[in-house]
Amino acid sequence: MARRAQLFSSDLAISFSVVLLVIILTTSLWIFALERKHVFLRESEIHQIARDVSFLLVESPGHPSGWTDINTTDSIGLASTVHTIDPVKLGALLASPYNETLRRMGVIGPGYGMRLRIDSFNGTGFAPYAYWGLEGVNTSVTAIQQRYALLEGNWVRLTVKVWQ
Amino acid sequence: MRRGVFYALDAILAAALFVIMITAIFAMMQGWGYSPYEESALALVAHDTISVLDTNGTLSDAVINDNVDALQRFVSLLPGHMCASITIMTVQGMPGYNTTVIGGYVREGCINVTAQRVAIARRTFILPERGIHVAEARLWYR
Repeated sequence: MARRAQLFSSDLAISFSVVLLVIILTTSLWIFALERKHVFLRESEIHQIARDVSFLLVESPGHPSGWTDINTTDSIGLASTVHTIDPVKLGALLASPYNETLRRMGVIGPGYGMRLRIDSFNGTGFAPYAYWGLEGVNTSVTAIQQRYALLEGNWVRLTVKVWQ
Repeated sequence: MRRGVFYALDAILAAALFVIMITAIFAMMQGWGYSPYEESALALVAHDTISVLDTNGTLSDAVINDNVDALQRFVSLLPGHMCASITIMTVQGMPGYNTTVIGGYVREGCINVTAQRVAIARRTFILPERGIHVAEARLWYR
């Protein structure tokens, strides 16, 4: 009778190959999932910051609520009432120093930056009205949040862009 | 006795399990494309829309003067990938909250669009001698 060695069994060879393939796939998927989770957490944080900043600008009066000098604020907010922007506060924000204002708005993190764009309704559509902040260059993560409000009775659109 | 790989039950079971695992893995990976931020953005725009239209009197004007021009104009200014409908209702029979639709506007090109996720924002406003009204803004992605 011919001797048969275990290592030369085709069943074993195929099973071994399948198991190896499953292990490789599972490991690759695990690495991919970990990396994706890391990216997802970064994106979540940036989006949350953009959302929080947009809330401050459109719905919050800031603290103290009647502030006119950004240096005296604990929290920056542009609203006189919800969805109505105070033009005095907006003017103060547009003239404020970038890094300090970023900190007061809670945009704190490694390499985080912000760009605010305000468009005003001109009768037919939205046209650029004001800008503040910096455009990110070679950014890895960007979050954009658009909000709508009133400024001196006119519709305005605020676009908050937070980047890293 | 003949033995072949493809006739062995354990090999068939192993192959079936392998196919199931691969299918499950790829199906799971498809779900990772879903972005929760889009829903949040939609809800905020719905909230802003109804609040802005209420604050500057557009909703009141629509009821009192039957003037929906401003309402239509604002809805048309929303981002192009969003659909929107604004509905205005009267409220009767408190308590009980029976509503009657008295007017509204659906953005052009949006009437027959089926939406998987809809953001809804409502605002109640009271008009002298006309009673309680409710405006509802519904937004969804095209």
